[in-house]
Amino acid sequence: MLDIYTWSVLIVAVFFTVFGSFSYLRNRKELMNKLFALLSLAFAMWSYTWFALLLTRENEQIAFLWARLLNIGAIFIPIFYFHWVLSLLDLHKKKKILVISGYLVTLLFFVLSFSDKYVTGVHSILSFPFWPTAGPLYKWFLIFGYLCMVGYSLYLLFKAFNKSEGEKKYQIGYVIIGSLMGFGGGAMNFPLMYNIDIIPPFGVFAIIACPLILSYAVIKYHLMNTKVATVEILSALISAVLLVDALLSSGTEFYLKFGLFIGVVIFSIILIHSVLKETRSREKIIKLAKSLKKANIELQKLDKAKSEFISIASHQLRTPVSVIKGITSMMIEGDLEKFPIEKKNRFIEGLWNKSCKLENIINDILNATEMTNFKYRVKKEKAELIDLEELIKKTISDFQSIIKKKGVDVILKKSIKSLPRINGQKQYLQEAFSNLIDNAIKYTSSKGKIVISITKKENNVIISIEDNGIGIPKEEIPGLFIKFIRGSNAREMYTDGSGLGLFIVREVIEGHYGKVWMESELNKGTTFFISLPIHSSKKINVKNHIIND
Amino acid sequence: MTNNIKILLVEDDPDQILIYQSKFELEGFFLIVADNYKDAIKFALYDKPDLIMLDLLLGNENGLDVLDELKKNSKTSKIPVVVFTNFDTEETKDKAFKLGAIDYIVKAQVTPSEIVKKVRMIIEKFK
Repeated sequence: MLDIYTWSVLIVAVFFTVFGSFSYLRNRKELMNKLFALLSLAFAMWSYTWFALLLTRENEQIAFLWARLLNIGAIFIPIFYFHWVLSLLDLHKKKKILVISGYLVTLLFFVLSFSDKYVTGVHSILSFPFWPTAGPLYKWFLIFGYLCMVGYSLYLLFKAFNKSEGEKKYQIGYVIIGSLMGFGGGAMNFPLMYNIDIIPPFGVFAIIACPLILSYAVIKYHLMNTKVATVEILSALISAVLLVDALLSSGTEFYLKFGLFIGVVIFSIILIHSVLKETRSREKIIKLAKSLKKANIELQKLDKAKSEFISIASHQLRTPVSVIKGITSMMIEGDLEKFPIEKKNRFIEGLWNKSCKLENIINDILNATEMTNFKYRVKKEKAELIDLEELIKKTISDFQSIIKKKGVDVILKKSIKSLPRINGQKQYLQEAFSNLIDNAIKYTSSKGKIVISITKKENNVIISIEDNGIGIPKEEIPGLFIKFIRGSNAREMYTDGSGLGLFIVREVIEGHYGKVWMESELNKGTTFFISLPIHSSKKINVKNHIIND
Repeated sequence: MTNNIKILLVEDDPDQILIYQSKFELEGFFLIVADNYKDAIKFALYDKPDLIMLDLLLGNENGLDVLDELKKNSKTSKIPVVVFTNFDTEETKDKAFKLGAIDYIVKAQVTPSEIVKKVRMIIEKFK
C-alpha cells in the first residue's frame, strides 16, 4: 500500500501534466503558454521520476537511474521558470541575452548531469530506501538554478507586483505564492541529498498547490473568466483523482473506475465548452452594453447641448421679436406720435436693426440645418475668385461698432505682399470669418487684443485669428466644432453665441477643401487657424500647415 | 401719483432701453437705467427704487447672482425685483423665484403697455 507521501508526489506529477497540457492547448501560439507547458513538463518529469524512485524499494541500480532522470527534470525547471516569468512580465525581449545564457548554462548542466560528479549514487535516509546523493558539481547547479534563476525571477516578480495594479497585480501575486510554495517545497529535498536529515521533505504537500496556483494565474491572465478557470481546475482535479484511483485498482474494478474516469473527462470537456461559450457570449454582451452606455452618454450630452441651444436660440430669436413687437405696439397705440421726430427715427432705426439681427439668426440656424442634412461643398457655378484680405477687412469693418464699444484692439497682419485669390463662395467664407472674429471679440475682455494674420504656406493660404481671451479647457477642444457645443466657460459667461458658429465655420472651410483647427490655453487665449487651398481641386495636408510668421 | 414711482431698469440693449424708458416715462414713472450689474447694485443702494426690472443676461455676468446680492443686502432686500428677460427656462424661473423675485416676465410675450400695467399692479400690492 502506498503511503501518503508517495501519493502526493504522484498527484503533483498528474497536476503538472494536466495543467501544462491545458495551458498549451488553450493557446498554442502564445509564448507564455508554450513556456508554461515546458515548465510543467520539466516539473512532471521530475515528479514522475521521483514517484518512480519512491516506488523502487530494492534495486539500487534502477533507483540510481531514476535519481539521475529526476535531476535531469530538475535541471530544466529553473530556466523554463525564469523564461516563463520574463514572458509573463513582458521582459523576455529586453532580457534576451540573459535568457540565451541561461539556456546555454542549463545545457551545460544537462551534459554534466551524466557525469558521476553530479549525482554520485543513491543512499538511504529517513524512511526512504533510496535518495539521490549530490556530487561536487551539484552545488553549482543549486547556485545557478535556484539562487540565480529562481531568485532573480522572484525578485522581478516582487518588483512588478509593487508596480502593477488591478488584475495584473493579482496575477503576479498568485505567481509569487505558487512559486514560493513550489520552490520552497522542492528545496526541502536538497538537504537529504547531502545526507542532512534535519527536515523531512514534507514540502511535497506545498508543491501540490504550486501547479494549481500557477495555472490559475495563467488562465486568469488570458482574461478567461474565473468561472471557466474554476470549472477547469475542479474538473481536472476530479479527473486526476479518478485516474489515480483507477490506476491503483486492478481487475474489474480497474475497468469500472477507468470507465468512470473517461466518462468524467468527456463530461468535463462538454461542461467546460459550454461554460466557455456562455462566458464568451457574456463578455460580448458586456462589451456591447459598454458601447451602448457610451453611445447613450454621448446622446445625453448632445441632447443636453441641444436643449441648451434651444433655450439660447429662443432667447436670441425673442430679443429682436420683443423689440419689433414693442415698437409696433407703441405705434398702434399712438405712443410714437407723442415723440419728436428725432426720437421717432430712433425707434424706426431700432426696428430696422432688430429685423436685420433676426434675419442673421434665422440664416445661421437655417445654414446649420442645411449643413447637417448634407455635406456642404463649394458650388462651382456660384464660386468666384476672392481676395481674402479684402474679405477679412470688410468683415472686421462690420464689427467696427462692437470693437469700438468694447475697446478691443484688432490688428490685421499680412506676411506676403500679394496673396493669391481663393476660389470660393464669398457669402459662406465671410460667414465663417465673421463667426471666428465674433467669437474672438466676445470671449476677449475689454481692452483685449485680437491679431488676424494672413500668410501663404505651400499651396495654401493660412489665416489665424488670435485672441487673448478666456481660452478653452483642453478637454473640450475636440467637441467644439460639433453643432450646439460651446465651451463650459463660455456657457457660464453668456454671450450671443448660438452654439452653431464653429460648426458652420468647419462646414464652410471643409466645403472649400480647407481645414480649420485651433490652439487654446485657459485664461490666456485662443487661436483659430484656417487653411484654404489655392487650387481647391487639390486635397490639402494639414500636417504641413505650420504657422511660422 | 406715478410721478413719485421710481423704477430701476437693468438692461444693456439700447433699443430696449429706448422702448421701456420712453413708455414708462410717458406713463409718468421715473426711470433709472443701469446697463451693467455693478451700476444696478449701486443705483439700488443709493436711489432706493420702488421696483427693479432685472434682465438676466448682461455682458459676462449672470443676473441671478445680482438678484441674490440684492436680496441678501438688508438695504435692498425689500425692493421688489421683477425678472424681465427673454431667457425662458423652467430651471432659471425656479431659481429666480427661490432667490426672491416677485415676478418673471418674458419680454417677447408682453407689449410695453402690458408691462406698465403689471408693474403698476405689483407696486399697488406692495404699498
